[in-house]
Amino acid sequence: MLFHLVYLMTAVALEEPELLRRAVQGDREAFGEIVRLYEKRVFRVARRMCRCDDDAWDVTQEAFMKAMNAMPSFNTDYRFFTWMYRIVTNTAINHSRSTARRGEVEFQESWGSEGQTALADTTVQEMESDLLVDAVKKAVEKLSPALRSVFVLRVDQELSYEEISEILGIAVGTVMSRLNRARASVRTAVAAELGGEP
Amino acid sequence: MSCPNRDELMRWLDGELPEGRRAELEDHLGSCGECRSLLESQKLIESAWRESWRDPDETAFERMRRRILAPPPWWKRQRTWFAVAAVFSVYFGVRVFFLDGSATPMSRYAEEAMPTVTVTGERPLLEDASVEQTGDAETAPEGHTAGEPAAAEDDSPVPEPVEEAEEEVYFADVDAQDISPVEDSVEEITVDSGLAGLTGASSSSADEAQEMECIVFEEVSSSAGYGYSGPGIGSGGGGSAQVSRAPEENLDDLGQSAGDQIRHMEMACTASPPAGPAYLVTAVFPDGSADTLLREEWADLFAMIDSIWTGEYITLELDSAMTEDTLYLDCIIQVTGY
Repeated sequence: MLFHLVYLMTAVALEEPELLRRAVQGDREAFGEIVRLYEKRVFRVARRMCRCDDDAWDVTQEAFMKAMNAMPSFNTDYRFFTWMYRIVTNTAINHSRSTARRGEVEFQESWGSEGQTALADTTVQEMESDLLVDAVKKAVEKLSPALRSVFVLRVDQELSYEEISEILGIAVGTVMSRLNRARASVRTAVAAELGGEP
Repeated sequence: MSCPNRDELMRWLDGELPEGRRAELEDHLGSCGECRSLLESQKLIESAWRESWRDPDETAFERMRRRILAPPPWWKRQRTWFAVAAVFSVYFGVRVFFLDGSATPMSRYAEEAMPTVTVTGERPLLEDASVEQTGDAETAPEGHTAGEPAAAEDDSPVPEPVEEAEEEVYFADVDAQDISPVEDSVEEITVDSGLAGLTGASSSSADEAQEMECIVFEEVSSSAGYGYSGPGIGSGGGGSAQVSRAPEENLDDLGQSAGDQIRHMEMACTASPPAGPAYLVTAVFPDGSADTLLREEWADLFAMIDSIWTGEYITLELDSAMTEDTLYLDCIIQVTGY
């Protein structure tokens, strides 16, 4: 597994500039290789942002097609994946907004960033992993697209604040505040799901 | 040290806390079980969620790749061409059904290699002159349709003057863009062929003199304009109109505005122009054909016209302007008498 990952990363580093150059010139085969290199990570972001697999596939496909159509104007001085992150995140946010459900909750300011005390730490550490995962998934789904995108990019993709700022086009301070609010919301929702202390 | 706020704890968890503050916070964590527990539970939540991920089956990605890379449907691939075709259809439809003319595309002139302009024929006979102005460009004589004058027939020989037979000279509006205000000043003119002593030509051979093309023959308004009066113009004879430059809007309409399409009317210059008002003749050369040689050739043509007619029938005033890619050669013709 580790060998495969290292191999993949090396291949990406070696091939990406040439593939991008060709893709920018309209080479669909080269773009197909780029899709192959990034499809799993892009789909993962999309799936984390969406509520179901079907939506995630739609968002992933749409994001790649947007990228393909925009390739002629892509500046190869920039990192492709940062650009791709932006496309898929924005596509997912738009998709989420268009299919907004009533269950989605915006962060309530009254919770404050200290609101995570709603979940007793001991509750988390003692529960079954599957239950916890399900609870977190449901909690993330309830986040607004703006909070969810920051949460996904930081917690799932483990990007830095600076990278998230660049991808979403928001200030680093905004990234931090949204992330804190998202985390507080998740903890509160997980507590409610698992019957933790209010 | 008191417990840090949660924001700082989360920034520490993310590795985003500045170096100095991080050391302080780590000192605190060594002695504060509550903060450690909070961080542990947060890590547990996030790692459980992160590690719960399972990639979908590879075949699902393959299907998606096929969809992404599949060529677009034919109606999308050819959408641009459909749009272009639609525009051209409308354009030519307008020309055919509304203008009733088959235009001579300007590209044709650009393709032609430096047309050699020749003038053949005799001087018009003044005493036999008869000029009829119909004022209706749509009523082309039999055998010709408006916009399709003999001038458009490249290889046709110059017709021999036939006594008593009427030969037509008319000015055909061939471009949709020529619709007003120029249109109002276009006239169809019929003259006796016996007077047809002048044939302008734009062929590569003097033996195959062809009728002059690419000429805007426009009546110059006697009231509008800038009060231009060149030497000899407007003096004496039957041409009673006061010569003036064409109104500015007409000049613009002749293609002098930036980026404008070339528009022109064709003139079968087989006879003298009618007496009366002055005319502005403009030769327009698009797309790089406006080089010095061509300009000189057209100047020569007008000079020949001038040498034949000047002093007896008309006066000429030449004016030219050359933009980056287009030559405008204006010739104001004032008929001074027959």
